[in-house]
Amino acid sequence: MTALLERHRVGAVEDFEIDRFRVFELDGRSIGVVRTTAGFFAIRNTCPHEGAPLCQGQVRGTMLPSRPGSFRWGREGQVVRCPWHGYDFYLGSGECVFGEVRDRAIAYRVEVRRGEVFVRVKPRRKRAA
Amino acid sequence: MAEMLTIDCDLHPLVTDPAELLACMPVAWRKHFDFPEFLAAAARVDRYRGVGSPALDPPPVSADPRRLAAAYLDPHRIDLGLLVPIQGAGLNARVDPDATAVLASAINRHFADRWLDADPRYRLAVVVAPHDPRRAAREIRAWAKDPRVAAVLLPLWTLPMGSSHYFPIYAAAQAAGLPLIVHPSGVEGQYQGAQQLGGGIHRAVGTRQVLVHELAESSISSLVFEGVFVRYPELRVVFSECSFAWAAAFTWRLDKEARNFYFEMPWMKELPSAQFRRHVRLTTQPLGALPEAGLDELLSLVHASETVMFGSHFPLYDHDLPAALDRLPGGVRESVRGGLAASTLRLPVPA
Repeated sequence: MTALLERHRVGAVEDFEIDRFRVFELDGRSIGVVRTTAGFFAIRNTCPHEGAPLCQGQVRGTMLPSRPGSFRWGREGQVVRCPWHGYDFYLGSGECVFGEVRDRAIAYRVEVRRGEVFVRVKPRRKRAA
Repeated sequence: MAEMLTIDCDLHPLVTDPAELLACMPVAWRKHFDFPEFLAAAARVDRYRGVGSPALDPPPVSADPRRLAAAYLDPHRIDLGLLVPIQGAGLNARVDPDATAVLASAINRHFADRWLDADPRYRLAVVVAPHDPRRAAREIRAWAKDPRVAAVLLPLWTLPMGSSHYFPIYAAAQAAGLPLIVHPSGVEGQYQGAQQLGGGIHRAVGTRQVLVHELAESSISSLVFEGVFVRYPELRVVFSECSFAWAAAFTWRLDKEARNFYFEMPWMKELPSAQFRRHVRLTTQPLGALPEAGLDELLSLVHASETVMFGSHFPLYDHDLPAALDRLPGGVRESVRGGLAASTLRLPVPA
């Protein structure tokens, strides 16, 4: 199935500052690519809650399961917090970390080959003119 | 045509710059409040969510009436939006009656001047400080002259709502045709001296959220059993952001105890459930607290067409949008969307 995904080059590894999204138009879709301490991620720049520009959000971690009365912080660099209402989404899967959002953010595969960064996107069917 | 309107009974504009409130005060009071402690605290006077909340800093649209209209009133075709100054809902936690009344008045002045002129769809719930009910009644009478004032936001005092402490407020609201809005602020169950929630002070913000309807139950029971609706037969009280599923079992229990304890309250001419339908309204938020199945019956059990009104809680993070009402059955959907609010809020017909 992955062979059907188109590979889009979005730059070199050093073009990406840690935790700073860069947004690209790839096959007609606004997709943000970010390098974090956990690796490279790509996510659609549209929050599934109410359509906010998700990639303007803050890259962070989240609370891990813990014992009552104590907190454990983790998954640093694996979560983005939407700037409009504060819902958190895992950058890898697009799933919402908590709250009422049922739909996922759309996450895309990222590949790094020889210092070059690529995003895999399923091409849209061409519509009749 | 009133039945076709979309009326949002729960919009939350915020004051994000405390200096704007100072500008709405007499000079001497401005000087009283103009020190760093107040200015820092005023920016966080919205303690709605309490510690542990995922809520963000105030959304940008919350401080700008035109931006909020463009972001919300326009795309969701809201015909009327009731501004409920949620930062005023926590005034009951302050201890200086005079300063608190000045603050309430400044909040009202701020939103009346900045928001009501900005868009004809806005209406205002003016807030009063509950500490001095006669002073609060004067504030209500002053604002009643403005036809764009549609309700009174009443932070609860340390006595139940049936207490004679509130009577001047009820009299003034009734005379002006203004319903009362009781709205959670975050002080409930979180600060010594604020209204307690069941079981005492809960550390978990989730518990305080779940229990918020308890104050509606406590207040309604007090109003009904202590005869407030007999004294003030035109008074209406709206309990916001408690949702409404709980109201079915609650009114059944009220009726049972009214029958049991008739000799304790022989002034009641109607069953509590009938008083509830006549005098009490509940807003819808959070709609996410409703079940998937059985909604039709639930709406019927709470007599929703007489008791439930749409309130979004926009722009705070867990707001509902009007589209969420689409799953209500047709008959009740229109009254929830705006039909009931049209007859509950004070909305004078323009000349």
